[in-house]
Amino acid sequence: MISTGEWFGVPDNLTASHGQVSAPDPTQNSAHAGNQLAVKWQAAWQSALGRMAPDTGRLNYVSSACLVYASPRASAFDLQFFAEKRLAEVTLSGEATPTEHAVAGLRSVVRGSVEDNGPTPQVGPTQSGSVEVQWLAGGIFVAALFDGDGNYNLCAMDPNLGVLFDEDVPRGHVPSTEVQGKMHSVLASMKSHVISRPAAWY
Amino acid sequence: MANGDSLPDQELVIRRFDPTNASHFTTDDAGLPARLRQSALRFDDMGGPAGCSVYQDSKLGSMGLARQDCVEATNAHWQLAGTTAGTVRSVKRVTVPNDNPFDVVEDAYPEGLPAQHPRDGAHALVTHGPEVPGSDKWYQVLAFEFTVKAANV
Repeated sequence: MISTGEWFGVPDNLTASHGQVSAPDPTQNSAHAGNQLAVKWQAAWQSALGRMAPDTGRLNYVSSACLVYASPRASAFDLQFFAEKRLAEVTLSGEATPTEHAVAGLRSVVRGSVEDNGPTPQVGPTQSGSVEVQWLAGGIFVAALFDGDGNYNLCAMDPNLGVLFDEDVPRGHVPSTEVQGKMHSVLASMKSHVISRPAAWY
Repeated sequence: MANGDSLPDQELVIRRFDPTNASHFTTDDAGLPARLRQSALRFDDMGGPAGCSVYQDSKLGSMGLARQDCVEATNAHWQLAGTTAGTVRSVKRVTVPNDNPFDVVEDAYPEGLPAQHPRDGAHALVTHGPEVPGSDKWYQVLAFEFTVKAANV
């Protein structure tokens, strides 16, 4: 009888107990490229999440999206796509009813902020029915909040809740040069903290 | 303490939220505890000042209840986030001209109705006045002060 692990290309010796990953036995299919990749996935999964014991049953079903969740690596396109996905979810669910101006503003800020492997732009509704996007990594917080009339606010706080910047931007205008620079440098500094992506990435 | 009285600054207040709703919280990409978002705070106007329900940690303990008792049985997977009454009253927004609009007040209810869960004896409200200029910005920073205990949401 073929085991599930073998069927999906994961060697059975990865099903070690107590969260320990066994090194692949060189005498047992170790040259198989799929097995080698599975070992790397397993190690990445464990080191990235830390809090989760390896679960080879789950690993067998890991999709490419799950691999991104367990990894700090995500392209600027992936991050922008995730923001669009969440924007669609909050509007289609009726949690937010943003105006055209608010959506255009959010898209503009996200597009101008995402960088490869940067922190995740997490879109959500506001109490008034508009939308905002937040980034959070290592306790550093950045947010852009959009009013229905197209005005928006950019703010950021350090892990001790000290305000790094907090600026209102009228519709059709760009943030001050100072805030643009600060926002870019704060988001860049958050890159090194990223070890995983939100579960909503799935 | 009578209903409507302000809670002491050091009182820990607890808010429940849905960890399966990504609109309720922001995940820390570094694996640190998540932070609540304004969607997780609902300010209802029940005929009086708009208020957001929270529970007083010290009263839960004195009533022999656990923090987890704040979660409704029908939403057993919900999680808890907390901050202090003093923090609620001291959050600031430099881009909003008015002062902090929030208070946290005693709101134990109902009195003596057997069908109600005993946690309602520890109920309190985060309140604000009828008009809050820059309200979304205030809600944003208020929600951020509620720290989620677990990182895995």
